[in-house]
Amino acid sequence: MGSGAVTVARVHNAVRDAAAIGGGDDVALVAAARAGDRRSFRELYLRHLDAVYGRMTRLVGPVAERDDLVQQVFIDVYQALPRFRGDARFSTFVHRISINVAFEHLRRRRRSNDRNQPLDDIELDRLVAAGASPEVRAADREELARVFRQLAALKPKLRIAFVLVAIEGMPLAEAAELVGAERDAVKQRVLNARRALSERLARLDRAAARAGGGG
Amino acid sequence: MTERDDRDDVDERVIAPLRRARLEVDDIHAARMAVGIEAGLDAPAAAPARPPGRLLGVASVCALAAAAAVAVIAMRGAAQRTAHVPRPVELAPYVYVGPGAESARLSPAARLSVPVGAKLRASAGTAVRLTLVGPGAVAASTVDGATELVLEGGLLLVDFDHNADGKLRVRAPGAVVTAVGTLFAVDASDGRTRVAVMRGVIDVDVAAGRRRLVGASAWAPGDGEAGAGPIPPVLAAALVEHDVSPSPPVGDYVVVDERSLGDPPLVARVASGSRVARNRPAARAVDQAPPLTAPPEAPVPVPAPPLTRAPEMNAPAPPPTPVSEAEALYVAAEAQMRAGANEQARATLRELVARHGGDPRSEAALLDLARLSLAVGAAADARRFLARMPDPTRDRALVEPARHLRCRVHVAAGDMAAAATCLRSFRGQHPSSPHDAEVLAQLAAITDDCDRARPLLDEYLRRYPTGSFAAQATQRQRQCRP
Repeated sequence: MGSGAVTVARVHNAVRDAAAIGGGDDVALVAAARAGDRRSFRELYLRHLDAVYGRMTRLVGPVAERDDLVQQVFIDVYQALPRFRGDARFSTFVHRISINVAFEHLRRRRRSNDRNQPLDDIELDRLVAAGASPEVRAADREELARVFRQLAALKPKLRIAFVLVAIEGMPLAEAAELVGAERDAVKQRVLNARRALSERLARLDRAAARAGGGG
Repeated sequence: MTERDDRDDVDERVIAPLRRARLEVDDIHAARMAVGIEAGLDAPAAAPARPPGRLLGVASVCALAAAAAVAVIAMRGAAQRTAHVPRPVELAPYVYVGPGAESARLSPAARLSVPVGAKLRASAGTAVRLTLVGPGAVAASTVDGATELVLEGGLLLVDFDHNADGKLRVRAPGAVVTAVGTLFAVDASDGRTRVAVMRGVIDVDVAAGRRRLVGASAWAPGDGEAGAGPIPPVLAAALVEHDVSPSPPVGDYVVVDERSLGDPPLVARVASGSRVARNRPAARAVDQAPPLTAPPEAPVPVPAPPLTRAPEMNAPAPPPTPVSEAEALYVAAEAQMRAGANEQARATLRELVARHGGDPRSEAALLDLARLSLAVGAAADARRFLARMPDPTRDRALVEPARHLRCRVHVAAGDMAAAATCLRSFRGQHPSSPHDAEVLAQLAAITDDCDRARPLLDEYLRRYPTGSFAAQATQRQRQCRP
């Protein structure tokens, strides 16, 4: 329990830290970017890129469109700068847009009945530990591919809530604010996501046992 | 299972792997996305807000945006600073398709990526010809008249015509390789960079300074001041194979619609920048590189398009077609083998081969017959069955297993000279084979000469430190210490 909580906190803090490097300076950069200063916007991009990229990867998976979506987030952020009044942190503003972009993407995929996007092998490879032996890397890659296939089966809202709360360790209230929903609704989505994943894992295990028994 | 168990299961099998995943963005990646963003911000305001990818494909915008990439790299303190604005260069991938072994150029792109086990050949201008072995990706640009390849991962084999104008550089993690007219390789397949030059000269710039390598030698920046060593045999074989492979075809390129290649694909994806992949049909293709022994002018005939999946992908079977007698026989033989009725299976497979020799399934039948023979120690029979199969087989999924089985037959027959040749060739042709650990171990084990065995043992221990042959390899390494 202890180490799990520490891991959760570390992941969450890493996400937040990456987004908030020199947080106070964001204000000046945002002001300059709003006035059309591209250099300031580039600086904002660099400050928030890791966080947006990491979250987008978890939300949509290492698919071909992931980089496009990250680019879309920053384009949308730039275009929305005039509407940013500074009531919330800039990182919150950026991540709200990230989640909207991811949600639209996941919803489009679901509507087009194309949930099982092929994962990009190169991107998948980037996610596994560097320096490990080829065998370990291959096993890690396969494990991650399985994980992303499980996540792809979730409804978009469930997946987003699960990623934010269960994987990144974000407090429910913060996640609720980010996705624009009630705290209890987010909690319920996380529980539903867990249940759905658990059922899928059990089904997979049963299928594997049957295959093993038959072969 | 209790709710608590369910919870643990999800924690362990979903949440934990995702938390372990490395999610950092490297500088090259960041720069490439910056290009897309800058292009997006510079796009005409009249463009629709979204569909995605409204912005790319405009060369002038990309050229402007490339400046942003430079800025990003500089701001992030990349080790290799680019002082001048890079301009995208088209990589022209090409494949050999069709029963007539026709060649085809595919839609050119600024970046090529290939998944595990796949191989793609391309040219950049008239002076550069490359083979990319996956998983890997390479992007191309020109900086100050020099062609620059950015190797994001994988094994890159390059020959560069020094008589043509310009220079060639390859940027890989931790090293920049400048070619001075040569045949060389840069391997960035496991996060570390290794270089080898077979012919000519290359300069390797690393943090510690410049290192000049002349053919035939290999070196890794991680080796520090250690001298260059011989090129590992597998890499040497791959370089030779690249060297003798057919040149790119001339004429118009063809665009392969990815939808025609099925889903999940694929053996190679060609994407010009991350956005373009979404905006137009990405060309996807299988490189049908000939075996080492094939003359350069005679690419090996392979099945006609649509291009199919690589055997390594373990892709699902194609949609069902009407069942032929050959298929029915093969299904029956499979069922017999599953049931352990190998004698019956052999009879069924023989019948299939006898009655449907021209059917693609006869190849699978011959392979199974060879396997079954080898399993009972009849290496000579296995060899006879394999001799009836073309190499490469018409069915691409059988190429790798058939070649592997050929080598096993040599080993089983005690013909070690033929086995060594076969295993070496196999490794050159299938560097990402799932059998690689076994093949490398066999090769090392049957190589008596310590000088020749040492690089194989080193490679085995480097690539498969926990492999089943590791203990023996370590012991032999000690015995072979100079």
